[in-house]
Amino acid sequence: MVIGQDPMLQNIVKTTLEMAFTSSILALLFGVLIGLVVAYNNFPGKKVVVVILRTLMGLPPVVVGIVVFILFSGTGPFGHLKLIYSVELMIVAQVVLITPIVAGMTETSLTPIVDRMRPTVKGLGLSVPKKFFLVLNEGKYQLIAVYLFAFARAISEVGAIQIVGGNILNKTRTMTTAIALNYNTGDFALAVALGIILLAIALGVNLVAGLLQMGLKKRND
Amino acid sequence: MIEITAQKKYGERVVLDVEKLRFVEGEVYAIIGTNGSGKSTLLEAIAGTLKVKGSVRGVEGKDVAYMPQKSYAFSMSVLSNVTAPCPLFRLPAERAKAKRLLKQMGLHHLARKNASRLSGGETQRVALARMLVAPHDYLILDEPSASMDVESTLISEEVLKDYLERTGCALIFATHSMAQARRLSDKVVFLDGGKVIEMGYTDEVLDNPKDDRTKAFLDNFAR
Repeated sequence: MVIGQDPMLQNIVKTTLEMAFTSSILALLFGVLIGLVVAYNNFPGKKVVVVILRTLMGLPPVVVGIVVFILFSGTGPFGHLKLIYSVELMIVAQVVLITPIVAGMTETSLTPIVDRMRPTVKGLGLSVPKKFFLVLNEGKYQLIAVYLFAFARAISEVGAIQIVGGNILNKTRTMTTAIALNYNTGDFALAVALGIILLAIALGVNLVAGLLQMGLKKRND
Repeated sequence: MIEITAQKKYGERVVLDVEKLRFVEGEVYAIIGTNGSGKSTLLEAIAGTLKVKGSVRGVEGKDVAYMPQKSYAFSMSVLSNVTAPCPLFRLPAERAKAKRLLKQMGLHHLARKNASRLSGGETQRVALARMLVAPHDYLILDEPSASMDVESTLISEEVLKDYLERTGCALIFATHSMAQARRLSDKVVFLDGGKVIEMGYTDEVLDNPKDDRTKAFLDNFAR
């Protein structure tokens, strides 16, 4: 109701959802692929790769924001793309931030599954796409949880997107950057209201994911 | 013909040490031995699912399929499990074949059930059906009737024999059952401490073992 009456708020919610869904889905695609490849294959230096992935899971958002800003600023190597202070660049920063988290969580959750499946899958001499499909099918519940985490991280992010997006009204302002701004200007009521809307969106996504998990479980039984 | 020369150690313990062990196409071999004698290691080495020191000759360009002792049932229908090794473009035809196979194995009533919910014996039968849906040059089965009751074992053996006759595929399988070795195999290979202690035609070796360790094993088995 509150959102419906306020065009500015509508824009903030729209920007937030666009950024959170796009970045979490892209991070899921890249991260699951990386996590799956690392989980499935045994190669020299695998332990080092896993340690690097797990370290990158703790990437500080502000650092990511600064690095992405430098790369895409006027004098940076990607400056000619003119993406600075845009939702697209906020999505890039989010993908950089969330992909290692998705990859690390995917690797951790799929490794025990892969270990149980490996002798059978190897013995059947399956093609690589088929092997990967079977592993993903076995790990579908875990992957839903991984996506929820990625989405939660995307929708609650402030530091990186504030740096690369600039928190511009009706352009790059999201709910979290708006909350931070309203807190700084002393408008606590609006900050809290935005926080409640943010939680409601997260709840909605969780409910959909829960229904999806229940549906899959029912189909399996 | 497959010829394997392989050694595998875990720490100081030698689990496999075979030299120029040969398996001829179209023949059936039973690998027999006590627990820890190296049966599974030998099968995995032939299948190429375990790295060993040495060489396996004759597998290049051949279709070698391997079923481990504890087969994994994918979390999908029994029918989809059986067709899992089939190429997607041949799926409709392979599904009909898989259905026939399930019927032969007495599993057709489970076709739509989720395979991850099956009992151990049922899982093993589904895993065997999954191996038999496509033609292979060599079929390597590690205790194919483990967890199966007598009736299921006999039905599975009949389906397996029918498959071998139709395809001319060679079978190498590990077993603890001398009766199964007699029913299925042309030749037996006795392993002890990772080494071949005796090899020959099944009836000859089982009725007239030459090596003292084979005799002792068969005596223990008869008790």
